[in-house]
Amino acid sequence: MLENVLPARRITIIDADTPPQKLPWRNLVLAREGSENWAVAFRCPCGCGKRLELLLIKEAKPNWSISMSKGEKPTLHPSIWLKAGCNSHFWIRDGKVFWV
Amino acid sequence: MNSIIPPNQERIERENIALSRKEGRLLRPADHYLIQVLDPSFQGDLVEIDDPVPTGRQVLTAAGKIPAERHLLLLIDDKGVLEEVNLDEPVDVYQRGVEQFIAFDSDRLFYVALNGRRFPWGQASIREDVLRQVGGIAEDHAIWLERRNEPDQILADGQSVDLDEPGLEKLYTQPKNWQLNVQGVMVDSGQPTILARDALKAAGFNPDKGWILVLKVKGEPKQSINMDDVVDLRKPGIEKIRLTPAEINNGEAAAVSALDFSLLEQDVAYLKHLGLNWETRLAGARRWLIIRDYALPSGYNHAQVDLAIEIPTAYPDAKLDMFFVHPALTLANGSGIGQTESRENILGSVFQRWSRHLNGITRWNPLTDSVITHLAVVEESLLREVGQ
Repeated sequence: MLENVLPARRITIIDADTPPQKLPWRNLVLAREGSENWAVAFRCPCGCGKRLELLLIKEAKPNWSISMSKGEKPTLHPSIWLKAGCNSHFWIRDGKVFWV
Repeated sequence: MNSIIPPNQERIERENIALSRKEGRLLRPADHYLIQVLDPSFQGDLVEIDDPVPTGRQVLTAAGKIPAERHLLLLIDDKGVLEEVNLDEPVDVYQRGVEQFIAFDSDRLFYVALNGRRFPWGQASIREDVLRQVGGIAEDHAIWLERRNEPDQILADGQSVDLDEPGLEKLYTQPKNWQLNVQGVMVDSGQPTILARDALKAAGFNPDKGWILVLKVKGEPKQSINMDDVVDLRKPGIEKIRLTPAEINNGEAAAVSALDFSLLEQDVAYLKHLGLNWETRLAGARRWLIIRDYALPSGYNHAQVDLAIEIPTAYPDAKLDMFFVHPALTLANGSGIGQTESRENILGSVFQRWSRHLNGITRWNPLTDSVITHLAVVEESLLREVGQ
């Protein structure tokens, strides 16, 4: 599995409530407005490349929480499960993708 | 000057002039007449006069604006035109179609133009809400202040226009235009409220595609809204609807639906009590209890794992045996762990099998053993490897 060989995914923080349409190849983009984390976006790790955007604000349903270890390696909770298309279901922990 | 009163009519005690005009009837001869005298905020009471054709002085005196010389009086006719009334000038209130008077504690007139029509005012400023009443401006129109060398300014609710500046202040009205930012696209609305669904359509988004909508209003907590919610655009500042495709679920929501088979009642109660994120999944003929984010004691190369326990069809008569973790564990110092070499593919993930069994002395008892006791075995096994 390539994921085990490649380095951990990292995260870039931008000052906005929405992540950009154009995303890096593997890394995650966190949209943070003021001190508030709004959303995180990245390309689907299954290889389909689809832009995935997850809301982090608690007012939204569903929402995710994000934590970052040293070196901006992100952990998302809970898992991410696409309802259509590739139907990927995975976790991101410490910048690594774990398939369910 | 009671000339307008037809003769031979019975006199009544009081006649309300504004009311009689509103009702479209002739004034009845009366001992007293009621007129309305307002202050510069357009507040005021009925004032009693004895003459239906009073002078400015009479009106001011009756309204308690004494001495009259220190005050200014304007009248508003039924066309909304404001006009100064001199102290000794008689006003044929009824024939002139006078609606109301406005009295000012002032000795100087200011002028302002509204939609090209100039009118006097007795104060150095006039409020937006007063302008609306004077000019009969509807709520769905905004008042703009014309300015030179810079963009015209829209008057906010209750904002005052300074009339003491050099030059005539020019104001004009326009239908109000409400704006909403839908994920970066500005939507103009002719109405002060808009259905979220219509706002999305106007911004070029398909409302039926499945979106999560979050409404941001300046200075207010954000809120999650639905397609059929109404957004009020009247609040100051531009509201924003933030869109995110609703095509991704999270494991929490999924866990509820991922109960492919049931456990014992006491198992479910226990798992819930521990606050664990768990699911029961069928994989071919095998049945798995999977616990997500199972926290490990320190000393391993991971802080948490997904823990899988196979639940035989005959459980609890059939025993629970061994357990599986994903990702595979080693000790933090890199050392391997005995009897964990085997791998099992469970629902697309590779799990490490921990070959841990009840020994001969402690034997599975269908009456007392369950997922609860097996989790104790799991915990004990995990603690043992890190010497705790």
